[in-house]
Amino acid sequence: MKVNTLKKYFLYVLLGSSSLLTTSCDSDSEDSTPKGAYEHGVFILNEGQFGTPTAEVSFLSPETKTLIPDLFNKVNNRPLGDAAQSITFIGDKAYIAVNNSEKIEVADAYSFASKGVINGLKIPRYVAALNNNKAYVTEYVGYAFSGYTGTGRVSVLDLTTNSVTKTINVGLLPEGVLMYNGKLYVANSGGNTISVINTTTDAVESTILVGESPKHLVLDANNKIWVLRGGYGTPGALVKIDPANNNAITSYGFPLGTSGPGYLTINGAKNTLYFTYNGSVYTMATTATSAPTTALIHRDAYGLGIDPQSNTLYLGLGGYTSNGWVVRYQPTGTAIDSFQVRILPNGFSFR
Amino acid sequence: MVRRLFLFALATVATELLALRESHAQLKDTVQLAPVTVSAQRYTRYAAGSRVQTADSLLLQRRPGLTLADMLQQRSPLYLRSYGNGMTATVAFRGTSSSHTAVLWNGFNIALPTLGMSDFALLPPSINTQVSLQHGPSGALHGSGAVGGAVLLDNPVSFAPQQQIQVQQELGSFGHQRTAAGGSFSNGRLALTSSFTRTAGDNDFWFKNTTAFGSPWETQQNAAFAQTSLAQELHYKLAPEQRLTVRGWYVKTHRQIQPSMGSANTHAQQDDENLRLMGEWQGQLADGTTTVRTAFFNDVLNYKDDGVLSLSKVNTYQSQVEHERALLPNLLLQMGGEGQLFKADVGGYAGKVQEQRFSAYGWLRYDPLPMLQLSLNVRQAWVQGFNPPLTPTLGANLQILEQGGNTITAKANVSRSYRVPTLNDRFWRPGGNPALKPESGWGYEGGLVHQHKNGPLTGTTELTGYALQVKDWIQWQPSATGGYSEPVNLQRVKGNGAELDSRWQYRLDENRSLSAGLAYAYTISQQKLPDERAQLQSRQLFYVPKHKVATWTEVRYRSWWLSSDATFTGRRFTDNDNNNWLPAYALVNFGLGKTFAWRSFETQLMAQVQNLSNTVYQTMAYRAMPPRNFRVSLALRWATQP
Repeated sequence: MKVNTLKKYFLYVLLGSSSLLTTSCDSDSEDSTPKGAYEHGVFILNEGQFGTPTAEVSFLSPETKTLIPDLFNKVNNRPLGDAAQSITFIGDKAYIAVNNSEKIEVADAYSFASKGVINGLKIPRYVAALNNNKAYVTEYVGYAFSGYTGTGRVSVLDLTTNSVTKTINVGLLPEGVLMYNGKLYVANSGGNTISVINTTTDAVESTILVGESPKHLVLDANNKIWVLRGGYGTPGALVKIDPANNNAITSYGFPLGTSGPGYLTINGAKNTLYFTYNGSVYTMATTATSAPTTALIHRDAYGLGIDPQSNTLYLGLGGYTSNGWVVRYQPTGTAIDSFQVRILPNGFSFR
Repeated sequence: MVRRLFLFALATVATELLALRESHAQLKDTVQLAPVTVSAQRYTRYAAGSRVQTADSLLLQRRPGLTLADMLQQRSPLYLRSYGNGMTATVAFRGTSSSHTAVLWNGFNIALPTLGMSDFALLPPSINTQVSLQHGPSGALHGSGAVGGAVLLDNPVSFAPQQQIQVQQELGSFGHQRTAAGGSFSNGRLALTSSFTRTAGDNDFWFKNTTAFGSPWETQQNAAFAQTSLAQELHYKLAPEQRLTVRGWYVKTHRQIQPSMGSANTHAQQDDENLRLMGEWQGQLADGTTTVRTAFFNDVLNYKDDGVLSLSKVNTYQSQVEHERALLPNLLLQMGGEGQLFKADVGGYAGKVQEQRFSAYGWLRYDPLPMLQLSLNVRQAWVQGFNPPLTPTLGANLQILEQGGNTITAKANVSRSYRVPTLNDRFWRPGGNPALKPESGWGYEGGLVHQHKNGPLTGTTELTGYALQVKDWIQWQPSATGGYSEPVNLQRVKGNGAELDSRWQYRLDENRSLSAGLAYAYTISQQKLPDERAQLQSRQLFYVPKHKVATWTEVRYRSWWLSSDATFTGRRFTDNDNNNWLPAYALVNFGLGKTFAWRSFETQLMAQVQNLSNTVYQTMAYRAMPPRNFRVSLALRWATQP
């Protein structure tokens, strides 16, 4: 429906200290010929206005300092869909779960050309891959007048045929997922457990009780799984799971907040956690003995990401119906710059 | 004296329409139609210098089944925002938004006080409805909400003796069906009118889903609707110059809500029930005309989908008292007062909510010279918690040329408007803000009207230029304190534009006539928003096309008629950031009719093609609209006239 010129979106004010960003492709030495125009950069997922097909992917190239706010539409000449939830890169493809379009859009990871779609899903949320042929997606099911009450599920995806091969019932409102050691850890955000799915049998082999409302999971350098949970009615916490020790848990509690947990991510060295809770951004070393009491950034971020090379923090802000903004911060919490993207930036992928 | 003045006033503002209407009336079918009286006079007398357009009043009789939305789309320069065929449809004047359009039914504002706007799909006009459009702000005449303009629906009073019954059945593509029955009776003292319609559609048309991988053809899901409307009127002459009127209008609508292309079908449906009752007494009192009106509305809007249940019920009580008198032969005064009470029981509020609003107004019409008419109107409203500004209007018409059947009149008007925040703006939880200020606006306009009447050719052309601004425009935006939206007095919107309206009729003889019309609007409506470098930049408001053209022609030959209309709508941005837009489109419709008459019976056969060119278009982003479709109808009429 429209083609925006690249030129218009040149970021004149992008980053005085550009050295922070020039490292992102240095480690790529295997093949120097580019695989596509968007091989290296930051993919910013914009959720869009719910009920309208205004979800979009914005692409930032820190090297050339260019921003394409509407990458998917620009390449494919059609909207992405209604309410994009997550973007996951598997092999040479990007998988975008679009929850109110009940689909996963498949795009080429380098050119972002549309390659297919996985239909037949029910409010798809987050994706994790076992390998390039097999992945899992969490889905909210059982949506009713009083909210989400039915049992959630995880669908097994065949990425060679873009189809669902099996569905596995888990807890309420399964949200974040993490693949570790051939097992899929699923955060049941409407309940108080993590479901562990054996990827050989594609069945739930155990559930881990972690406390109210677990949402997102990351793996640290010591192969411990961290879960961000709770905060609505009762105080939230970071919960550390030790898969090597029979999934034993350690809890790092927060004071009671007025809003629930947001997003949890980890730096490139996998030793520092970053998360949003109660309208602020916090950080915590994986070796810490207690949860942080002061915020790193006092800002209610809708999306949160950290560049694994430069440790630059990316916060997605605002606008339910109008363009949102990304504000970048140094790891110390000092603001660097900001730029305008599309409606509701909720996630960042660094390539 | 009053009458003479009134006729004179009409001659300048609404004559073009009168002329057309009369000539249509002369062309009427074998069976006599009820004479049409002008009821929008209540306002047009005081609307010197402003633009009031009365739609062809016989259009609804010639083409029963035409919806108000169709009529506005095909015969006006307004942009109709429709969420699908039969779905929610709103209009906006002069680059404002749909909540800046006041809708008045026989003098009462019928906008839903919770949403502050009217869904035109819920207003099926009964056969004797006269539709007038007030372009531009008119707070003094039409009260809160008339910021961009007003749509006036009136059911004229006529005591001319007559009896008439008609029934109609219409069938069309995609499950469209419409059944209508109506009748009217008058013996000179008592007049009764009844009207019943039932309209339904499946809307299971096919469309190309351009949001999906591979752009597959799909059948539209979840877009069926059914609507029943019952209208009843009773007029009784208590004395030669005293009458009592009672009107009732009940509309019940069940709609599935058509999802956006590419959005999940959550089986959304909406049930609306709108009951409107009013009584009016008019008589000569204290050397003038006094009118007392009172009304009760009960509006129910229940929405549900797989995840949401939202119930709302609002009772509205309104009363108006007016007195009109001629102070001098050429000076007419009307004074009045209005009270409104809203009682809302809405699921999203903290409890039941009540609000009272009052306003007082004085309208003055002065014709110092035969070729000069002036009007000065003023209104002050009082609302619980805050008071809107005083809204004056000053307007003038000056006839500058009269020669050989041509007259040219210059017109100018300055008008202030206001809009009280809606009940949702004030009481919705979370977000509702009882301390919101009312919006206020100013409009300035001027133009020329040319009228031609020479032998078989009559016509009117009106050219208007305007500037408009709205302050404290209320917009919902993300709250500073949490994950919800809240309304704020945020923006200042400035607009300007031009409107051209031209209507002509060539009447060769009793059997042959040709009429044609054109309405064009050029609209600039801007607000300042930050661009990608956080610099404020003027941007066109979303869903405001710069250009809209509507044209129509109608040919009559003996008992045959052929009508066509074509509209062009320019590019519309679909968000205030101007990221996305809908491309320009043109729509063409055709209709052919034939009338058979036998004694006092008459049969009318009609066939229509809509969207003749099979244009793919949307008026709201990604709400699919029907492709080419067909309708046939048969109407039977029986009438006597003593």
